[in-house]
Amino acid sequence: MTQWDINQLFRTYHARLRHFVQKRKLAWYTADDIVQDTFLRVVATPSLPDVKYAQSYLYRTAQNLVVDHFRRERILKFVPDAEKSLEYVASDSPLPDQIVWSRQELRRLQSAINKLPASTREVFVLARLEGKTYAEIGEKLGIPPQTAFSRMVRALTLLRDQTKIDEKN
Amino acid sequence: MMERSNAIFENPPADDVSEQAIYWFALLLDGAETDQDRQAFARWIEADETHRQAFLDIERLWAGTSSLDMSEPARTLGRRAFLGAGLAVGLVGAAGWYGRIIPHHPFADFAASRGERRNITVMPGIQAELASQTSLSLVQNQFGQTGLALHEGEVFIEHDGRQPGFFVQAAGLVTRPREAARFDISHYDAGGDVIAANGSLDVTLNAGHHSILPGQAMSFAPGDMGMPRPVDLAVRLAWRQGKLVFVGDPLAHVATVLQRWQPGKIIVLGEQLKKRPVTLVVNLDRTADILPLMGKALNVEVDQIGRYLTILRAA
Repeated sequence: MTQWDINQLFRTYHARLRHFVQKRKLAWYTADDIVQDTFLRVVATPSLPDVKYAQSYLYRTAQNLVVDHFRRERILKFVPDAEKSLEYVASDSPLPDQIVWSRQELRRLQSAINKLPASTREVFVLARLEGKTYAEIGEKLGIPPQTAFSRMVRALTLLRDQTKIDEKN
Repeated sequence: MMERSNAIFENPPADDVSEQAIYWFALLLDGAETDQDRQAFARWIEADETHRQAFLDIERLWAGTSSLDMSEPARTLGRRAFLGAGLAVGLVGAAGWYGRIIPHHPFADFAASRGERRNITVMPGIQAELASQTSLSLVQNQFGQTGLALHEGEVFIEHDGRQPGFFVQAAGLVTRPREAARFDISHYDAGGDVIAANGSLDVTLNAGHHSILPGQAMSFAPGDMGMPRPVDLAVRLAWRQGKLVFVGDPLAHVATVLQRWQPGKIIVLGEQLKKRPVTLVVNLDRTADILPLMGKALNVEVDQIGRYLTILRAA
């Protein structure tokens, strides 16, 4: 495994990533925030893949953040007092404190993801990485969308429980 | 949009706020939620500061996964070995304790939340009493007959005979009352039971068929039926009177059943302890007291870890 040179990667990929993010029709400041967030996450992530995967890794992380951004925006529209209720969602800060993860926490979370049962993990990954809906996941896996939903609930519960349990140990 | 009733949202999806937050997060993730879902979510998030915080916690959890490795474990052994090196191994040695954490079937027409018993009129002549964490939907078969699909949980049906085509399906098993009948069906991961209290039932699974007479029960699992056998109705249906009765049941089974009625998970550590026979009557209105009491009665150590987890171990 070759070490990641974050500065080098930033120089190489910053503009490309910004273009990639901006194509998703985000305001320029949000695109910049997301690119910045992407690199900050790289810094925080304890177990990076080999540097030869850096490009796809960066794009995938940025894509996840874009999808999350749209999801939050969508939810904000139907929460009347959103700024109060979901304040970090509405925050202008590029990386609000509430979503910063320490390396140790990310290590626990990675461990929890690795331990997800195969069928649960499959649903989680399709939703997380590919942004698929429960209906699409159901179609792909040959299961009812309800089952896909249940497995997502299960995945989130396992991740929550596992990170909490490990935290206590 | 997926079609479903909003009946489920009249009750919170679980007693536990964090589980509710997971439920909402998972529902909204999809983008297929209904306007009623959105309104229900808005009400929920604004109802209490703990709701807001619990939802933000799950958002944070989700955000935390954005940069993590999700490659298939089997195909990337070398890399996973690196990623996993030195990582903590979780406490969860008790296999199966995740089994009943999903609070609800979100697309069900009728549901009872954890700890709740609920009576509903399904249609004229059909009453259903739902046990804790039960979800049901109305379904039609190929002959246009209307029945119920029991997604999970336990339901007691009173059928006065006015709906001759009525049936209940659960895990592939179809139960039909012959005439007026009162009967109970439970369905959990590993299978379930059909119990005839009054009136006879016809049950079919694939090509198999049995008749269940009053006072008899029959167990079933996906693709498999047992034989009808006599059952103690008072014990088995005690939940309808607000009690759970265990007579010489293994502690692991008692824990599994209790878990359906109260928040949090119960883990029994140790094979011997799991098998220890327990005779016990639990008042469902006071489930919070039961674990400490059981600990004393059985000389078992009871460790409560937060609100989520109770561990029973030999003293």
